[in-house]
Amino acid sequence: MAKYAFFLGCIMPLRYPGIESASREVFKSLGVELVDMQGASCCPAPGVMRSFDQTYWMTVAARNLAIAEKMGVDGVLTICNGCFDTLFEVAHKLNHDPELRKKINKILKDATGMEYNGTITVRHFVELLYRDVGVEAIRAKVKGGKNLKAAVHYGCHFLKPSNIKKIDDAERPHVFDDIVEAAGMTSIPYKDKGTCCGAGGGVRARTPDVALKMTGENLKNMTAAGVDVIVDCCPFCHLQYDAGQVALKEYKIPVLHLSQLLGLAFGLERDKLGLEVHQTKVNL
Amino acid sequence: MALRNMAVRKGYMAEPHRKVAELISKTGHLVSLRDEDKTLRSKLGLQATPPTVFSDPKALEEVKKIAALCGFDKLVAGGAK
Repeated sequence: MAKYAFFLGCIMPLRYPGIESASREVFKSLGVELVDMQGASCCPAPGVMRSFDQTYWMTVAARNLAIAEKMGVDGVLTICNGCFDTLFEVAHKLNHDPELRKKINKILKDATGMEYNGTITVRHFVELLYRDVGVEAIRAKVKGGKNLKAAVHYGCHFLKPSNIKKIDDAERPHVFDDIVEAAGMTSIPYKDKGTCCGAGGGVRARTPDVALKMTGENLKNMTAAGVDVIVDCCPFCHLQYDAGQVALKEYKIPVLHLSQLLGLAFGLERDKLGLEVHQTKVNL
Repeated sequence: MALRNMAVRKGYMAEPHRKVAELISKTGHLVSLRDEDKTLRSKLGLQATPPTVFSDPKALEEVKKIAALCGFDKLVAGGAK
């Protein structure tokens, strides 16, 4: 059985813990063991923290990677695009640049006694589902569900920067859509599908009105395409679509993180999915 | 990115962003842990307090020490320009 260090991040465990419990149940049913990273912190969030101080950003991320390195796992698994961006990029830099790793390790060792040895692979859960578990294995687990029209939202940091992540074509991707379709839904095309949800890059924190305008534009495009449900792969995008619809007072489209969608499709207990805390009602 | 870092070192940062950065440097997370979060986590069968720095004071001290060694705590402690 593959074994991964499960990186929780911030928004999932604290605002949408149903995504966490759904992820734990779904991966267990697919034969992937998730192990907690005791004492891990924020990744830290790339939008603000990388912009503020790259050395601090990399050292905190390196501490998280060093925790995983001591666990004897196959890698780190994230269910969040922001966490994936930080941990993947920092691992990529430190795994390939011994001089930079030496500089970061000097601070890390002084602060924690740990060093990062450059051995960790960071995986996004959609990528792991597509490549390691496989679409057919997912389809075989589906026990029902409704054939709804799903607006799949990739977000910004899952596929980009594509020159180092090398997961899918960043402009015309299909891996996420294929999994959603394996779960019994129809992934619909919609205008500007690859745009940001509005929240990322510190926009939600600094200019929430601008973030909401972007969200509203996406919701308008999804609605024009006949959407029944939005499916995301990031708790921050999830928050923006879920809470954003309440703020806009114009839409009532249910929002599901892919882990929750798979939980529903696999016939897991609905009580384990935390759908009742969504601000936009999930009446699926 | 290097230019952004230079601007921040000179104090040019948006106040909402400074607050986010300060929260992470002090608590290790960008979102707070509320009683209602613990209740919901328990109801879902999860550990009430996530097994992160929130559950481990020594781990939080490590994150704070990184902030101190990088000068990040002082960088984000003051008001933005």
